[in-house]
Amino acid sequence: MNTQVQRRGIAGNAARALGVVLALALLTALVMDQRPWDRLLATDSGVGIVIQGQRFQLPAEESAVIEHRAARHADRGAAEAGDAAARLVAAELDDLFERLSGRLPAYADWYFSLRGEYTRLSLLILRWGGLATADPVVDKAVELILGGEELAGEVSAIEGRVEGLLAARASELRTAWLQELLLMAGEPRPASEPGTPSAVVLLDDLAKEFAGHGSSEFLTRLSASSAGAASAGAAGPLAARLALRSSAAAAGGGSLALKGAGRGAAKAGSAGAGALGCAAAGPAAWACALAVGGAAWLATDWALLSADEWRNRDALIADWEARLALLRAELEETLLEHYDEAIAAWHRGMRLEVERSFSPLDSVRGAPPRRSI
Amino acid sequence: MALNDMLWLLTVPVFLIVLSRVGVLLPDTAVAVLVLGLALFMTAGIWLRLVLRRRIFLAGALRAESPWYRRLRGGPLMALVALGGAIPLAAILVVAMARVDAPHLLLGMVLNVPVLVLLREFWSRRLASHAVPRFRAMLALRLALALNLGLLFLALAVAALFRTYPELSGLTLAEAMLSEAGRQEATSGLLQALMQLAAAKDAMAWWLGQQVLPGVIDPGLQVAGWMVLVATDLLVVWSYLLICASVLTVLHWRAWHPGGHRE
Repeated sequence: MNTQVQRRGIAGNAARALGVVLALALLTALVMDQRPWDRLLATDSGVGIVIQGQRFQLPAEESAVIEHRAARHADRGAAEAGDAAARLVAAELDDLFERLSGRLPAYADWYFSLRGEYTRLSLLILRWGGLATADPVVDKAVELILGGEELAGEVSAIEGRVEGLLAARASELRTAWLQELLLMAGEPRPASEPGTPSAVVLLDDLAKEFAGHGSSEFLTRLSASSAGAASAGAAGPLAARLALRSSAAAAGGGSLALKGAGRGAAKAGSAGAGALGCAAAGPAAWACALAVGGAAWLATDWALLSADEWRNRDALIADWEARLALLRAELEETLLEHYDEAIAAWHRGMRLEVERSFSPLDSVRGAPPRRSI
Repeated sequence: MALNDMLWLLTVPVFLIVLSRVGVLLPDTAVAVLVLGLALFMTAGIWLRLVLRRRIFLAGALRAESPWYRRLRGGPLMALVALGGAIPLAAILVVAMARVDAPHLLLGMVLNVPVLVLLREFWSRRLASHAVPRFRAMLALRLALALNLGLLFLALAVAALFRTYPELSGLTLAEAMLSEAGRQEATSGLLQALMQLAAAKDAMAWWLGQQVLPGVIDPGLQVAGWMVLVATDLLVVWSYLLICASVLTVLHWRAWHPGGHRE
């Protein structure tokens, strides 16, 4: 009996001694290794989010939703900004080219007038003589239809309005994202309040990126690209562009030139016939011939111009309408290409910033670390 | 019995380790309740040691039949006095645990558990042929606590010599204290204020250690100087040992209580 009690006592002591040793070992490990505590406390305290000097704390799964929504905001914001820019550019160019089209009748009036005829003739003579280099018809067209340098100013104004629209869009995007974020994050925690969140996400850089001032420098890029578009694509050598327009326009120009040559032959014939009638005038025959011939030339010229206008005015206007339509399309394409590039870079910047900002959460979610950006 | 004591005593470092991890997250109310609870628990051990001291005095000074023996034997008033001393000690321990940033203090507390029990057993056996039986257990505990305090403080002071401290040499004393105080964060405003005071005290010690002690060439004097500077940690160690003593006291209350009358 006593032996049994002694054995039980020895076994109990051995178990207690083992318990003490194990407890000491476990406690030593717990003291020396911080990681189990980090994991334990991180589960309770969730993820920290810091923005605009305020700290929020929320469960890790909600942070995933916030990241997803930030990415969605970036996608939607960039797409909407592109659409808005395209709509505004189209509306602005519609308005501009409607006004330009309204000037075509005035150009046609000049083109089929005696003044226009002789201005063209004199400038062509000067050009043949090497005294003028530009195409006088195109120069006059640029002056009458495009208003000289006025178009460059108009395009710059359009660019300014599009830049303003995109800057406002970026600001609205940031505001909308922030509102949704703050709604999800709830009440901020005081800065003095401690916490050991498993990860802390700093979102100030992402807010700057949304607003267009982040690493992608959307607004700066936008301004720089617009300036490039204005000088290189839109308000540059418009005259040359207009002169070298489509084949349809060239064909129209060729037929008008042929008709001009025909008019010259008819005028010479009528002037010669009028001068012949002055033979009876004696000594004043030369003066009479000059006066009658000149008058006949001008009358014939006016009559032929009128006939030409009656036959070709609509074709001329249609030809220039086609040229303007092509110019408009090219201008729109150039502008949108630049804006699309800037918006695409902004979108890439936002997505990269979303990924970078939320990368500290990878370890919390058990995901493999992302590639560094 | 010694193994049982060790197992029970291990609950103290477990509690302190948890406190060191979650202390800064506790609100004001929890901190106040924690300090008061620890102080009440400490009071059990302190009160019994005061009673022992009083009984030893009364046993030598008064007759057992004297009414003053009963009146002076120690009661609620003595408990209140003990509580008055225990509250600041409990607060010091809570603050120290909330601020602990190196494992050496907690490790010392864990490894000290068997040391304290073995020291108490040692003194209990040594006093067997010398002490009055009804005072022997508490006397052994007192001696074990005193010796353990010295050993633990020495171990921690030596460990403190090998720690790295913030570089404060370019700062004035006030800047150093403010800088350290500003780094303290806690949910509880009360705990944060206490932590800032403790941090300022530590910064003062470190600053003096960095500004004054390098001029002392003798290594022995340097060690002595550091021990003086970390002497305030003695209170932390003493608070810890008082809680351990209270655990043992509560476990063996009936056996260790000196009783109402002399044997």
